[in-house]
Amino acid sequence: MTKTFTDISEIRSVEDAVFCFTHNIFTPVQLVEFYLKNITEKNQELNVYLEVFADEARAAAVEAAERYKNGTARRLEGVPIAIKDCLLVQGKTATAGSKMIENFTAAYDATAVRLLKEFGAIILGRTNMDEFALGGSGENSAYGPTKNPISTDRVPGGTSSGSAAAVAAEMCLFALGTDTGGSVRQPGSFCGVCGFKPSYGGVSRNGLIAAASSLDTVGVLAHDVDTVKTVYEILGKEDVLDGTSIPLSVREEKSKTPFKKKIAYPKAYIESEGVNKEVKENFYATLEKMSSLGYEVVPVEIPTLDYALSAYYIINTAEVSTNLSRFDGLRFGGGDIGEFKGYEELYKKTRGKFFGKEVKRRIMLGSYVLSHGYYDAYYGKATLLRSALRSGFEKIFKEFSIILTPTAPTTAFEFNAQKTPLEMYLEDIFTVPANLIGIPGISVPTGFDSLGLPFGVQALADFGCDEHVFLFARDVAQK
Amino acid sequence: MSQLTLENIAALAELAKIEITETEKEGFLKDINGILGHVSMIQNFSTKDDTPLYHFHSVARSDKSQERNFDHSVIMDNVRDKSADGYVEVHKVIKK
Repeated sequence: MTKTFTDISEIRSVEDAVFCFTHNIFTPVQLVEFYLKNITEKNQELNVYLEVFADEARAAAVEAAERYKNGTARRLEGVPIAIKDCLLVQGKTATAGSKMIENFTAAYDATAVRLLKEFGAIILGRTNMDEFALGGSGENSAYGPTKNPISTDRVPGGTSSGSAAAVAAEMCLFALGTDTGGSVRQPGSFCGVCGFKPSYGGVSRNGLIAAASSLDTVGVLAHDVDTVKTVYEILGKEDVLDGTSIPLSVREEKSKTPFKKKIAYPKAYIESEGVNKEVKENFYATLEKMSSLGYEVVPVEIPTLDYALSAYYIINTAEVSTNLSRFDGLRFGGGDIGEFKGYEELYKKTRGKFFGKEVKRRIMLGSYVLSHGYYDAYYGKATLLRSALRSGFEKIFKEFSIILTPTAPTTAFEFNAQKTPLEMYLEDIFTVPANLIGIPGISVPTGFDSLGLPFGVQALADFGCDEHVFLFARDVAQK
Repeated sequence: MSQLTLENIAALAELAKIEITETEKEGFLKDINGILGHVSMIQNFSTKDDTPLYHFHSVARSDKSQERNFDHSVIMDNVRDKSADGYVEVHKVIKK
């Protein structure tokens, strides 16, 4: 690499950090102190970190510096990172943004966390999130909203609100988030950073507090795609502790799929009502740019997409209602609820007191769509739609390597925008399909709107072809 | 799709085991009817495609003790109320 570094803030990627550490331009201690200083200055206002592990980070930085001296530095040695508060870090509190498990201490590291530690990453702290990964703006945390560093009257997006904001506000080099319906990609877009969702089963969900088990993935937020790719090389491994983990043989097979410079975009879907005019213009400008870079760009029809959002909110709420049923104040979660008589009352009062509004809403919706008499009409149909959507996408991936859409129909909206729950859900139209069918996706920043708010476009690839979104993202990022 | 009523919301809260106030009931009624109004469009979807969604492979393992072990102290770190002799204490919910 031929980059020169005069100021520590120029370190924006893992490659930058490792280069600086290896060539004694900056030290791990200096980089940790740089981020801790930014956190001290900005966290009060932005509410990005729920807890900072300053002492441990400093100690780890000293150890990292030693490793560079004696030649035992690992791939991510000394790289300071942030972890979304639903991924377990051994010995640390994990609240999933909720009061229900306010004092829960993790007994073990999530696999993704363990792997990052094994390769030398330094965990700066745990980041704020929408409660139990339910939301889409960063306004649903029981610990207060996170603000968008680009414009503090705006939402950062969610549910990985703190993780996206941490990267954007230079409070870490990269961050782990989770993406169930767009919760890494959309905040990535709103905050002007890269947000990557791997193939379902690509990164182990062991140690992830579950939201919707067939939709959840562990994702990465960073300034650049090379950092994302490096992190995925470390995290993207088969794990016996996750029964849905993609087997090594399948990973190897899928990685042989050749990358074609052919982009499909679902034109009618992109022209939906509610997609902001400037977002559309930016999207089409990106398509033109890719054309000029030698990509073939073709509009396609995916009629089943019209049902994707409905299917998503049926499946998400159904699975959430099941996963969150464990929180009863007896076996899991809860606190002081005063007087009560018997298990039922304990159960209901605990959940009434310690769950936020969005969580309650989703649990009740989930109960409805799974209930007798409605199961087939809602959950049954949604499952059928999932298969059909998968078939529709697979047909397109036979010919195209990338399907491209805007990441979200708008840029970062204002706090208290008075959106109804339905209007909030409609923000997810472009991101939910990838979770429904388990394919990888990345949001790449593509400029700023007339208010200075970031745009993002989303590239999707076939299941197991995560490498394709990296190749594409690198080309999009070209000046 | 017919709209839900306050009674339906009360029934859902009962199913979901969540205690909600009368005011909350009104709010949830409005929200949930709005959402169901949209997602019920799924009922119009039909397909002859019966491609299975998932590729299945067995992840069953042998019935042997796993490598992972947690010290009693590590497990107890998580526990809100502990007895002096190392038991987890919970609310009394079993009737005599």
